Amino acid sequence: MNRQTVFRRTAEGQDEIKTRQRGLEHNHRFALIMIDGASNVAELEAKSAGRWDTESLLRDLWDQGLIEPVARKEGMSEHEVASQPVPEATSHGGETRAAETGPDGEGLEPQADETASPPTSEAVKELLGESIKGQMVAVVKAIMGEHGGEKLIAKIQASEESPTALADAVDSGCIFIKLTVSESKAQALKERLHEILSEKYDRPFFKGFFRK
Amino acid sequence: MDLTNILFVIAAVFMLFCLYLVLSLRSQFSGGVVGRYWKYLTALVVVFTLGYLALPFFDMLPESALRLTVALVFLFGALYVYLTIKLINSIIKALSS
Repeated sequence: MNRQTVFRRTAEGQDEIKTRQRGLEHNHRFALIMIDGASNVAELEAKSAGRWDTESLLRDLWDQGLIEPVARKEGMSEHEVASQPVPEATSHGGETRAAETGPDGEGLEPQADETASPPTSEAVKELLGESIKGQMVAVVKAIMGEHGGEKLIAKIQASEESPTALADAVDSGCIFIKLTVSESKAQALKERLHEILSEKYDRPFFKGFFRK
Repeated sequence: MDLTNILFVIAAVFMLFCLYLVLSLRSQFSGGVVGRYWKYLTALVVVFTLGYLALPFFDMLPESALRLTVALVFLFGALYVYLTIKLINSIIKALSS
């Protein structure tokens, strides 16, 4: 598998996250959730921090028609790429794989899909249960790996389960990461964790409490 | 031992302690804003430590070399102060963002 290939979820993959009809195993489901239409195979492998056999999982998901490579032919315009229809949810792996190399065998370049959504908090919540702290810790581990996010995780776990307390824990933990580990990872974490908080407490009463 | 030599010894001991601190704290800053500046500060502390340890031999240097050494100490000292101010400014920015 080309490690530069970018995958996105098919319509069937989106449905699977909501419905769980296929009863995917934990790792397969988590890999499906992590597909964001922008990260390539190498980046997904980095996010897994060695916990999955990423290529094998992606191959399985691809075989089941839950994901597909985001690709374009050489010479195809951005407009042509954008107007390409997303395969039906019923398309199977063989057909999708054929699409990667094209019917005439021409090579295709991987390309990020700007329309694909990143793994949603709802999806992570479905996988990990209702605990918002559990979801937030999972996101920290996915972005930071095993090391570097310990203080933020400790702050989240020690925080009261209220929107303001959790937002404060996220902000102070992200500042620590920004100062001592990585500015870009801190920014990504802050955005993602506030997104989770917004989704969890997405009620007019809570909205005023959040500082983005 | 006269007062000057006593001060030299105190300075060298103090700088060795600073070297220990800067190296032992380095593992806590793998990157980020502080980590970026810490590398330069560490290098300057190493230079200062070597310079301080060489103090007893300064008498053997010709006057022109001694003047150059003093000028370099001033230069590195100014650089150290500049980096420290930049680091503090970056931390304040990060905390207020």
